Amino acid sequence: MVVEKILQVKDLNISFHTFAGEVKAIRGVSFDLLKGETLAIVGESGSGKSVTTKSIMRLLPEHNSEIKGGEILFEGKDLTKLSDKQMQKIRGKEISMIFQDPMTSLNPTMKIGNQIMEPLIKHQNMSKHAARQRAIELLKLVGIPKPEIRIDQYPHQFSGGMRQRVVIAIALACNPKVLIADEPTTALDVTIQAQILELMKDLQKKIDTSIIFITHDLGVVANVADRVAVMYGGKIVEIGTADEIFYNPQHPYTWGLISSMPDMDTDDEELYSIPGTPPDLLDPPKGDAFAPRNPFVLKIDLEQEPPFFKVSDTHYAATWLLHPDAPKVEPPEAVKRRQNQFVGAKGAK
Amino acid sequence: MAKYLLQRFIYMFITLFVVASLTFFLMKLIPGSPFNNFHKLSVVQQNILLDKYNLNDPVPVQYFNYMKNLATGDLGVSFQFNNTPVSELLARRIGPSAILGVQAMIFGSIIGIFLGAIAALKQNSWVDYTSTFLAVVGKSIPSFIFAGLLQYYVAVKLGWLPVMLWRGPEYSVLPTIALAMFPLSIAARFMRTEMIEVLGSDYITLARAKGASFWQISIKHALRNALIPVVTVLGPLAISLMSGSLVIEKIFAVPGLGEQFVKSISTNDYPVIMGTNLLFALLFVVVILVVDILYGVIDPRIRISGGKAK
Repeated sequence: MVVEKILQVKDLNISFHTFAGEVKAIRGVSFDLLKGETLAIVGESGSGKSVTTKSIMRLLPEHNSEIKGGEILFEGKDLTKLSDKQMQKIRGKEISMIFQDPMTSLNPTMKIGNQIMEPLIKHQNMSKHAARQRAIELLKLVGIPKPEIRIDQYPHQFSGGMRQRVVIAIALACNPKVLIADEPTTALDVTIQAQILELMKDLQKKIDTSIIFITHDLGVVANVADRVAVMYGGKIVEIGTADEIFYNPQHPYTWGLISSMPDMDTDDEELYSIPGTPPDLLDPPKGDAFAPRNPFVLKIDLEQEPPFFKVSDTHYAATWLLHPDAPKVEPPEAVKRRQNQFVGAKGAK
Repeated sequence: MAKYLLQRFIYMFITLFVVASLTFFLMKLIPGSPFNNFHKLSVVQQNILLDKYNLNDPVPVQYFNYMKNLATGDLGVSFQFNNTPVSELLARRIGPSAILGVQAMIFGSIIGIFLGAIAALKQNSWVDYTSTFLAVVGKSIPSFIFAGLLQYYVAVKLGWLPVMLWRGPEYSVLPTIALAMFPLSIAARFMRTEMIEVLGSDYITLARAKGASFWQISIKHALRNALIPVVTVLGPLAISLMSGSLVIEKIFAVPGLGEQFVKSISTNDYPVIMGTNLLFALLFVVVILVVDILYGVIDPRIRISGGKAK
């Protein structure tokens, strides 16, 4: 069965013009989003996760950002070429977004009911009365008690978790085909995080939407994602199913990420951290951007950027270590343990 | 709300009491006498005059008597204006001042807010630069220079409006503009800064993500939030207009409070000084109260409530 690709990002390049020069924030990112799936994009701060997704919504600041190349195809339309008017019809209706900080993403001087009704009135030509009924339904759907009363309250009368539920209600108001969640649980405490993740998984099933989930929390990824894309220095360095990324990672950066995740099975005293700092995208390195921090660096890493090597039909990684001529290296302990589990799991099937 | 207002009224009363007391004692420190050619009179004549107006009493006694009269609403009579009651003098003069002040405030703040908002929305465009230029000019050039320029070019050269005096609505146009330049530039600068900050905030991004159009975002989401801090500065500005109009009233020969106030100080007309100052103080506390209530109207987070926020 061929699963429909709802969104395709092809060789996207985005630069920011700053006083220091041109910052090449996104350097050739490509990925597909399948219908009904959750794709997690992980990576450290500055790796380009948010910029990629904001560019899909065309929410990057217009005065200093520029899409230098590539396409973003949504149902065959290239979003990068749409006019502002056409884009307004897509935002909030076809593609919606949930933001990181629920404390600041709601308008403090507007009743939450009106904030939820806004896209309904705009995109579905609902009457005020109908939109209000729908807003109450939505609040109920996202688990806010007494929605008939809450609808006339202001954001400051809601807790952080409740506000994120409201933001989710706004995003889901028009049953979007794609939902972009930009670190939706980062600003919440752990118990609320879990509730919000449950809610999102629940709602995804109900309205059959595809989700792009940005996070730097691998624990969250394991919880929600079908597939995972790992970003580093404005590029995707590894992409695969959640199982493949967690149990059979190939890129040394992914190894680093996984090694630096707390693990039930080890009794190591100290948690691993990846040495060094992210690359300067004002002047991106010639070869592999991760090379200076890579304990398994090869000579060619410093000279030439690695292409994607296919690991399986769904799993690709951009590292020279996968080249047939590359020396065999031993991944770190934590990764090896996981790989063994993976092989074990496969054997059991 | 009722409880809050009651509390505020008590504070206002205390403020006015303190202002009245301070003014009274400071005023007594000004050398000189309220009477013309006082030194030419004999000591006996001087004493008769001083006794008549109870100015020979010790200052604390005078203070006590004044406050007692004040409590009954009696502001005393003017020494300079033929024993006219101060309340009548104030009532006669407050009209032109109030018209000027209110007009300048409305004109200045509306145009200023509009200019600032447009400048922020079209940041770094010629609209922005023009508005910033106007704001800098309006803030740095004193109002009396504007007054002179307006009189010369608009009234004398072009002959569009009367140069001075107070005989009808058209007479209020030029002084209003001269007076409005300062609040206009302050409002424009504040509005621009606030608006830019608001436009960069997360909820504006969310509004864009909902598919709202440029104007929906600007008017429904940004304007109201940007207005909150602007209201803060407009309150005290309104007051400064009241006193700032002293010079403007003089230049345009407007028979307002300001002109009379200046005259009363230079002639030691104690009751008029007290009365005018108290009137300004009263306006001040009322404006502050209005600003605080306005906050609540604009910003639900600081809505004053007797326990039930809605």
